[in-house]
Amino acid sequence: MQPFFVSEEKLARQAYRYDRRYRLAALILMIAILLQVPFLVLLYDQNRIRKEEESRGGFALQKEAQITAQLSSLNETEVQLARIKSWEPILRGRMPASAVLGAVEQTIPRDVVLSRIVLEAANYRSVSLNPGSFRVPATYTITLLGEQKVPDPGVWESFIAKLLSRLPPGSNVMTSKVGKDENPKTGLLTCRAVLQAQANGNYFPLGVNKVDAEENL
Amino acid sequence: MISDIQAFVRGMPLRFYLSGGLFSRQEPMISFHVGENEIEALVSYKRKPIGFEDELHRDPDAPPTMSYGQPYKPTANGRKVSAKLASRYHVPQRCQHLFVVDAPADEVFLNLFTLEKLRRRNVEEALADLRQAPGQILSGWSRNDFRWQILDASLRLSGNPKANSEDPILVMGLSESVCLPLEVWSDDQGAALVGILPLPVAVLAWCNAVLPTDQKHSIILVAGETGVVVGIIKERKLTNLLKVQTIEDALANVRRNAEEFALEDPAMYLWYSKPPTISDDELTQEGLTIIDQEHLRATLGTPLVLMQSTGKRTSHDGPIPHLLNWLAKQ
Repeated sequence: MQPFFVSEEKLARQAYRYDRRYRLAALILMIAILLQVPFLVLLYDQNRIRKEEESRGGFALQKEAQITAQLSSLNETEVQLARIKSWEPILRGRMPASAVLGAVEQTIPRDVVLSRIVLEAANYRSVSLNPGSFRVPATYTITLLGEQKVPDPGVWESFIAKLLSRLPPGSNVMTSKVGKDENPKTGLLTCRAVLQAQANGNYFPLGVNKVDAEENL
Repeated sequence: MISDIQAFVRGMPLRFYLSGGLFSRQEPMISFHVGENEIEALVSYKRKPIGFEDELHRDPDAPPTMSYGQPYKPTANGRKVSAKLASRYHVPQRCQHLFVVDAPADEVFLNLFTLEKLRRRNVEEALADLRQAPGQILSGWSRNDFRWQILDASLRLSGNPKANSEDPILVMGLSESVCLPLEVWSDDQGAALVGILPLPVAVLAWCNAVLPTDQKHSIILVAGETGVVVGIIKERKLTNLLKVQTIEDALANVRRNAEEFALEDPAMYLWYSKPPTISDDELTQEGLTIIDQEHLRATLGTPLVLMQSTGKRTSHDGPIPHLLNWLAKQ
């Protein structure tokens, strides 16, 4: 049938539907578009990844700024901790006298009686800190004077060896003597020993416990 | 060339292509009879009538009617009526529309001319001039809002009209106010538009093809809602055309001009879309054969068995379903 009273514009548009040439052109166009689909998907995917990366970068920057702000609030604490840490050489040089006495008490044999225990700091070195300069001992001299009830000199030597093993590593026995008493009626032997203990902070053999965790401080 | 490609890419009916239209050969056709207030539609597919809607005007998305003062307002929401009909009658959604309009008398121009009288060499030239400047070819015509078509006297609806300079040609005009709303509505439905035919032309073409107009001189009265068109057909060629108000006017005119028409024992037929005020008996006494259900049953033999909107299949012998069915096959 003739297209009665149909406008030219409408007929032109309808030609797109029914004219074989236009249909072929449309088919070619649609195939071409379909062939682009993988690339479009790839582009879309890349764009999505880029956006995600940008988003994560932004988040990381935000986090960094947040951490920086938190760190700045911790600066004062850090300074205080550094100041405490600077006291370490002083604290390390302070040998716990009670622990030394405890070691003596635990190692002394039944037949030995001590009349004098002298603990002296020696070999001072200078440590500079913020308020000023401090003298810190590097070693301690332990002088033991006493008497032994039995004539065997090995008892005293054994006592001194045991005590030395309880002192910080690097400590040594400077002198150790067992002599006859001037009063022969008593039958006692006079004993004397001088030990040099290293003030190196390793006081664990003396029975000082290690601090395991910071929160126990 | 590039502008053509751009225009094609911009205007290509992608939805139509993707819905299978790219490879489709046949599409369902919905033929509408659009009256002053009533609309009927026949759905056909692969040249076979499928369903008939006799009260389509009740649908809110129905095509615009021919009544004055009711501007067409397209529905914004809801399912399109074409899609509804397609799914109701189980045909593909891609549709073509054909409108048979019972337009008001002053919105239709129908007249017989010869190319000699129009002073044009061929039909194409006459049609081109009509479309460009109708006032120059039709003396006294002042309206420029008409679309124009030409049919040869054999009233063939397909193929290009062929006529010698002395052969009568039917010049048809239909106003833009009738065509444009239908075209817009059809476009909105996503359908292709096959054509818009004035009811008298469609009926005369149908009568010429179906009735024995080659055996007897025939006077065919086409009574629409707003007027009557009389066509005189001799040996399957339209020789005279009259436009009158009523059937009585038509009969009087035919009698008055009987000698001029040179009719020999003519057969008179009456086709009407609505029953006229004169009774059928009176019309029969006037010598008119009414193209009604009875006549159609006798002439065409088998009725149209069509599905109704209810889903029930019923026989149709009415003139409008037969007319729409015949037009859909052209």
